[in-house]
Amino acid sequence: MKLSVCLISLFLVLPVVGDGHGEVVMDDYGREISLQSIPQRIVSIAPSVTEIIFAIGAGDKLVGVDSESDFPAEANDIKKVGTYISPSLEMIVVLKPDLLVVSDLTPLQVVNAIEERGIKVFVVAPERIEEIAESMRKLGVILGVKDKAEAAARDFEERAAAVEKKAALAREKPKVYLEFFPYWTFGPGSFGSDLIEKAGGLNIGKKLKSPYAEVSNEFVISENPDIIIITQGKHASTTISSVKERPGWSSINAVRNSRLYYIDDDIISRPGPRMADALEELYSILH
Amino acid sequence: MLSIDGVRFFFDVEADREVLKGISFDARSGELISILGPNGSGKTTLLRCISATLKPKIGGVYIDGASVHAMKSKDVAKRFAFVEQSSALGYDLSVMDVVMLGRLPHIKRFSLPSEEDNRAVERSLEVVGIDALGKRSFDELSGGEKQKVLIALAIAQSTKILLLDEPTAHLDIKAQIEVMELLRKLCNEGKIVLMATHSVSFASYFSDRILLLMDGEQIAFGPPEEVIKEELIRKTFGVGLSIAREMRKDGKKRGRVHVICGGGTGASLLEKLYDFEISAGVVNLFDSDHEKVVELGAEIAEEQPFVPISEEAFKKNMELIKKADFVIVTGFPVGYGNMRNIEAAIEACKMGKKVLMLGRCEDFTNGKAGIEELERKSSIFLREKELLSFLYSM
Amino acid sequence: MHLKSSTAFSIELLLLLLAFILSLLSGPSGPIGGQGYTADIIWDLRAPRAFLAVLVGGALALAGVIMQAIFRNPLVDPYILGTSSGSALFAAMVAPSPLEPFFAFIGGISATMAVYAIAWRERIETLLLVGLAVGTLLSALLSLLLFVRLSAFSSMLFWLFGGLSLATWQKSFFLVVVLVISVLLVFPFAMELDSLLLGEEKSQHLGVDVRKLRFFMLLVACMITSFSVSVAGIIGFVGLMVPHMCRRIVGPKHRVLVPFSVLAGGVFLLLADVAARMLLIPNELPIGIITSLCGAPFFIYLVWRQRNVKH
Repeated sequence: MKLSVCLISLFLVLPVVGDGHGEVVMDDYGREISLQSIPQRIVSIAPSVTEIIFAIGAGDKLVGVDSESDFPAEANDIKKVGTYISPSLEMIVVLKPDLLVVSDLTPLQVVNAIEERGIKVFVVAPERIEEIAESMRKLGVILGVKDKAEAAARDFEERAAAVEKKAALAREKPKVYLEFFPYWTFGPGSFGSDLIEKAGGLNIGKKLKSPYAEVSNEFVISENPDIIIITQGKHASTTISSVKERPGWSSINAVRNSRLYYIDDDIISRPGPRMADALEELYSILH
Repeated sequence: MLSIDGVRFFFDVEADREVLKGISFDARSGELISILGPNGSGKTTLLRCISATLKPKIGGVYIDGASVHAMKSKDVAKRFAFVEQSSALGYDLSVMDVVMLGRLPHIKRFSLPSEEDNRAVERSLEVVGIDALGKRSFDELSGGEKQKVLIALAIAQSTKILLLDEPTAHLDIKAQIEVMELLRKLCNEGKIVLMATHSVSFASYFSDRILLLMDGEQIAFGPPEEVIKEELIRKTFGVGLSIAREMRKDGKKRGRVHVICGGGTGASLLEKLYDFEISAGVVNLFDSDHEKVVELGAEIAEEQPFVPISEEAFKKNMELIKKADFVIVTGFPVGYGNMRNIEAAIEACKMGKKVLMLGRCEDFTNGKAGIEELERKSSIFLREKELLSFLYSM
Repeated sequence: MHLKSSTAFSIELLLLLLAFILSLLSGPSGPIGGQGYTADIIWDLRAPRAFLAVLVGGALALAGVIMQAIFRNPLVDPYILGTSSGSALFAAMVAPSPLEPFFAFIGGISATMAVYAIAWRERIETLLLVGLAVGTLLSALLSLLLFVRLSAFSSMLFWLFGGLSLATWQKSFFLVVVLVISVLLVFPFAMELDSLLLGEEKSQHLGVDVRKLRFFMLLVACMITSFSVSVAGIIGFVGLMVPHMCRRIVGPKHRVLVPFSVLAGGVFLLLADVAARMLLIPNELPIGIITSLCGAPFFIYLVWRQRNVKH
């Protein structure tokens, strides 16, 4: 009896194993990861990674997430293992995961320390919006949900392409100032900047030197953006009315024409599936 | 035998100013030799050259023919023990621990103090007469006790030669005499004691021979009766022998002096009034003058820092002035905060006290303080030396 | 009055044992690590971490004892003199690399010697100010490095805040060797260090080559500091607080003070690490925040007390 149950379950599992077994996938740090079998217990240490894993239909395999992972709502019910900067090794080890997925927010020392304890680590660190779909596909292969991942990736790409197409047809490109913390904006090479460009805007922060940069009153006033967007979320608390009252800002086009908007902090800062939402929302704000 | 042979020295930063201009003398076992001279005459520098802390530019120092400056520092420490002028804090070391440090040159690097070291420490505590203090914390002792502990440390060092830099400074008269008698005793045991001092009376009372030093120049060397002479002392100290031989054996003071000072203008003078009973006022806390007065243990009228002189402090000042035979006003800067000190001095003149001014007070009150009035009523001395010789001649 | 050293050491060893056991029993997965994992969790994670805490704490305390002795001031430690920041900056520049400890040493020694060269003849306040200024400068450079090499941003945070979460047996082994060597290097000079308490001049007159002693001891202090920074990042104020409290308990004689402080540093950092792990479970606080929370007020208290003793 017992034996037959084992055999049956073996048959049930085998075709699935064949799908991911022995596949070699290169992660975003250029390391080749191969797994003997499809991981059944995953720990994610980045909110963006958690979102991707849910989007490609592997959310049920998550046994642990970092304490910032709060989307989708189901993520809140999963065991927390500490912050992505300094997760608790002990919590991770106790969960006995067969794969840990991290982003580039987690220090390399931590990644190494986890691997030293025999846990495979896969790094997901897309640098541009296009690469998010790629990340979904890679994770799909490694988690044995290739088809669902392909569908999610394609959906993402299509929605992004649709926005880009519409944006390309737009008659003018408004100048945009996007603030994620008082006087801090997205510079060149950041997702925020990419999102604005793709949605058909000109990011005034693109002139800055670093991806995340502090700006002065003067800079914003002289750039005179047509639209001001303020992020809202756990880490952002600026309000539109307080921005309007900043010295000298009343002369800015966006303030004169009352074109100030909020956007969800998470969707523009987490390189995950919801960046497509961000694109659509930005497009509707811009045009 | 210790011989000092033609020692010349200057500091490299001031190469044109020779601090020692050719010093030569020798010392035999059992001798107490005083190096006598005013402040800045080069006494400490000479001691440091002898103990090889400094290297003479010309000349040398020899023990039984061997040059001290060619020895390793540890070997030097087995021959000389040095009692420095300043007694630093010991961070709560016990007296026993401090004295044990005297054994440092004798203890091998990888071993603990031996029975012999312990005996040496006990013996030197006994010799100095502080065996009862052994367990006490060094930092809690009085100035006199500390000085004795440092001498005990030097004795524990078991050296032939003992160098002391102003061993009686900051001590009361009883402790001064005790220390000197102790040094005398050590000489009788065969040690050579070299002591820097600016006290003519101590030098003449206790030493076998005296080296008279002025501006780095060796004025005289010989037994006290040859060196302590009117013209030599006048040449060296700028005052006559009767004044310079200030100490009275009975410890009685010459009189009482009240010093009105502030801003660090009084510290140097206060130090030189050891023959008088002194008081001072009104001085703000944290002022370096305040520190000096406290150090000398004199009576003081004081005020909180950065606060104008209060009625209370002023009254205290006047009380002290009433008790004094002389009132000295040092040339401190006068502002609205401390102008009542000038008022006090003028009051003193009105009481018929003898008021002496040392230098002129700079006025920051547009004449409100009454400095001119004070200057008319008092005697003004431009230099400390003049004022002192006037005081001592009274 | 100071405790008899046999009594003091007995109590201290007992405390060390208790703190160690407490540390082994503290973790986000419960006192014994959840069902079936006890051996792994305790042996692989908590034990090396507890050992490393003892060793880093001991190393920093020893560095503090040495620095306080040679500068004759209880207000200095490797954090305040910029040694830690220098080590962290240089280690971060080459990280990740097996040469981290070596570069940490170069950085630590350069920063300390720079401070020493500028201020060793000056008043102690100047030394502290220069030390703090150099330390701040180096930390700022480290932050700048974070922005320039944004890709390595999070890796470098490790150096700034310090932490024991990445403890391994290898790191513990490395540091135990360094610490034992350092203690053996310092111990023969215990009496020389005592003599410095009475002033540089007195030391010289007792046959101590003060300049050589200072240089050599400073070298040892920099070595242990930088190696401990290379395994655990910047952890401030341990070297300030621990020797000071120990001096209160066993007195200032280095033959006793050195081993006592090393052990006490271990106890202190063990407890600080337990706090770092347990306060916001399962999130970990950087341990440097805990030690600074204790140490900075302590520093202010010392300055305040010194001023009141003087007048």
